[in-house]
Amino acid sequence: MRRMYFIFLMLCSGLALAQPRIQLSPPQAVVDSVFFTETTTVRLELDYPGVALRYTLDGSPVGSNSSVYKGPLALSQSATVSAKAFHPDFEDSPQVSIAVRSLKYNQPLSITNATPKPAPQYTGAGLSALTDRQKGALNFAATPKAWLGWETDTLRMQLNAPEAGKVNMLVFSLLDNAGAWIMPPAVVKVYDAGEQIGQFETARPEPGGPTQYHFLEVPLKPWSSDTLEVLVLARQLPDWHDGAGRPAWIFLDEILLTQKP
Amino acid sequence: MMKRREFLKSSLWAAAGMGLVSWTSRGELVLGHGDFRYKVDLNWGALNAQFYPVKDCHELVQDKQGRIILLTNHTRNNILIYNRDGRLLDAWGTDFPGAHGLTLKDEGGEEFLYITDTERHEVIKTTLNGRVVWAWGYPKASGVYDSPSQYIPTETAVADNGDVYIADGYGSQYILHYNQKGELLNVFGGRGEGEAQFLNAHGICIDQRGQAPELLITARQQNQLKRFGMDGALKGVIDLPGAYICRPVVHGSNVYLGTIWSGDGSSGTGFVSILDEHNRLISAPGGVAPVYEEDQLRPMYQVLRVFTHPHDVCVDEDENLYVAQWNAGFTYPIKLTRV
Repeated sequence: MRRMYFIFLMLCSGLALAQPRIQLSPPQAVVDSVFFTETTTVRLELDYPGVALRYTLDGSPVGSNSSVYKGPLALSQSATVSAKAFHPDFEDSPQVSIAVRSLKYNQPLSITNATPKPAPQYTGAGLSALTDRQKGALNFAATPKAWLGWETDTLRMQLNAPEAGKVNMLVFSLLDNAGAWIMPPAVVKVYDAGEQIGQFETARPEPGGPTQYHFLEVPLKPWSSDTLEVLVLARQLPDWHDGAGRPAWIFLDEILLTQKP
Repeated sequence: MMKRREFLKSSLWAAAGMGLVSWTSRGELVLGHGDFRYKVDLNWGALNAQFYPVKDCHELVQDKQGRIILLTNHTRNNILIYNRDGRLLDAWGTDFPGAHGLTLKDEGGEEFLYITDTERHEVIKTTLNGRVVWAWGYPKASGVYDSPSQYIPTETAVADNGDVYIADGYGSQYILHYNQKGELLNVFGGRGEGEAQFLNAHGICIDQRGQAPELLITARQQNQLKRFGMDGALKGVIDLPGAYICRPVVHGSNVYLGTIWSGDGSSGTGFVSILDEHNRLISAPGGVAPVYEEDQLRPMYQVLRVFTHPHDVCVDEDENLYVAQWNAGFTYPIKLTRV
């Protein structure tokens, strides 16, 4: 028995030496609807024999002890589903993440003005596309009506929120695609009649990040008027980027006013 | 009744039991599906980059001596010529900064190369050892071009009568049909989402599998392969969702296509697509097993990161494949040996 085991080990290590180091591709993550009121379903897939998919729901990194995916995930609360593929013969896949957002506590709003206007080739279906609750595709060219794109240092917007001050968070739904020179903005500031009621600064991006959705959440102090001013400062493309020093494109498909969970 | 997924799983496990999945007994990775399965040699074309550098490896053809001819946009050596074992035999070419498309045509016993150059906005015909026969500029006579900058040709196809078809895949998306004297005979396609139009008319070839020759032209951004008569009339559209196909290569009854991106088109993806005589995807080395549901291909995606942006495939007489890759860290072609 012992000898058998030894031979088995030798065979395994021999194989391991001969095999090139190949990495699994990230799992496909498909969601019914990123924005939802009751529930939404996330499906994960990497259809290859012997692959195990593992996931987390709280945005934490996926490891070899994370939950094993056994079927579609029905979610009733906002979550970030992160997943990786594992296989004994291959390196673990890169992690893929997809965020879903409950609109249960959402407050109506409209975007009344944006200066400058979006770039002519990325005007989407107009400013109303930012409040239609339709999520754009990760491949932005596939859903040209959903995404509005700006190449500018500074973007100013006016929001009309008729139920003033009832919720405490502004959410920007953005695209992060460094290869296409698109990154979440560096800073978002929110003003009520000239008084700043919220600010959020994003982390400096590292090279090699995946194309992904990005929800930028700005906590808000209570406010009283029904018009909010938003100041968006674009990220300068970092040193490691081909376009270093130029402003990254801002790609926005939705703006939400909601309650911080 | 067994669900599709369960059926797939059980049949794959059966395959695993027969030792067909993933690895040979010598530890070589095996890719592909059905009868079209291949051992992977990642180092097939590797050379000393100090002497024979590459940037993007764009396209490959095989000549009648069996040599594999690679086109790269590195102007130290735009052409690298290998034997089938990956040994370098010859290198030439310093004048093609935008070297992109490479087509070989036997014309009365002598073979010629047709190179499209996206930076020179030209198509250049050369002999196999690099003597330039002619260089054609932008198609002014078409009346649809104002300047060379609108013309960024990506591929050529050459008919047996000497006619040359040029795909303006990075330019205005027209297909330009010339006779061998360089007289423009026809213009069709153009940019658009119509069935007979293109978003990225990247590759073109002549398909002689049927009764009459046809043109196969990729609409890469649309994940479609479009069939046209030699007169430019649309004959059909083949949907390959999730497959960003570069150029069709007909060999025997199959069509092979380097597939530069896959899934949602994210960078770092891609695989090789192989179609059968009915133009259905039957094997996707590096990709998920193709599945048709009610005649529609399930969207394709990459499963293993073996390839990075495969841009072209060359098929040799033993049906082994040589894969050239775009933007893949200055790497050399990969060989897939059919098993």
